Amino acid sequence: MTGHLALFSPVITAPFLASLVEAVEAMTVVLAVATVSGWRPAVLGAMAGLVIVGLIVVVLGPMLNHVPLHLLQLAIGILLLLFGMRWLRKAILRAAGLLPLRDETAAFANETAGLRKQVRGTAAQFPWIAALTACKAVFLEGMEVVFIVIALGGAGGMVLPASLGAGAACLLVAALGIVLHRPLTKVPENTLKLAVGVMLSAFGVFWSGEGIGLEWPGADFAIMAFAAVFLIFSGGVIALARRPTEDLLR
Amino acid sequence: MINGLRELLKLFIDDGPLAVSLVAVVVLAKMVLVLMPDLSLASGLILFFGPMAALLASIARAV
Repeated sequence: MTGHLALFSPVITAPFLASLVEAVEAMTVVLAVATVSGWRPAVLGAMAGLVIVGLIVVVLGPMLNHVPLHLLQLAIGILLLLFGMRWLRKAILRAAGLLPLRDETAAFANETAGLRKQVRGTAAQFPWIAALTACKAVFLEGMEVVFIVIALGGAGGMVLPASLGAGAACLLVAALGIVLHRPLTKVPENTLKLAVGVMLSAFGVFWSGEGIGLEWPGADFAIMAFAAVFLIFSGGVIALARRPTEDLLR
Repeated sequence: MINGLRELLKLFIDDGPLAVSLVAVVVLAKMVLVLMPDLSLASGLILFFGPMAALLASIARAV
């Protein structure tokens, strides 16, 4: 029971933080669509994206119940490792200054300029291209959220708390976007990405181990230890990667 | 459609060698566990430190 409780907090926190990042990215595109073509295609496109994500969950979700537990844990563990390490890599490279930080203002400007080019000259009554752009952004970012919720909640039977964490973040970003009418530039996206990458990687190691038949010391509490080590390791790698190449070669 | 699938795949794979290394770490950990069931600690250590080594290699390639 205590082991299960150890999972509860990260199972809510990780989807919340991850969904904040994803929702901010989707919101930037939806706002760009609204700026270029109005709120109607932006909202309808976003809703269509949400409906597609919902349909995929409704159709594929119940199938997970038929997958043997160890196989499910292994598959989820490997996917979490791939997903978490990808986020961690990108966050480390950005924190070390080797990749530019994501700039929501620049992303918004790019998206707006690209859309203006695409919709120019189209005489359709309804701006389908704009709606499809919003739909695609919400679908792709939504799939990431769904994956994180299923991966973190599914293998431990905690889909509901994971969904609550993710849902709260999406609602928060949607509300802020609607009220402010501009991209959310103040969200410390890279820090969030690093934190989520650490947590997803820790869960990935844990579930991969359970999936291959390992029993971790401390049961679910091992996840906390993994996360702590991954965090320290990431800090070390950032510090190392920040040093000029000449220093490393000397 | 193909673009959409490609973007879905990109959710998991950014750096190909990193992805391959991570899968190889899990396979190696399983093999060690099957071949030496008494040494489950070794399998756990591979699974724990392997991803960090793979990530370090990936970062080193990018620097």
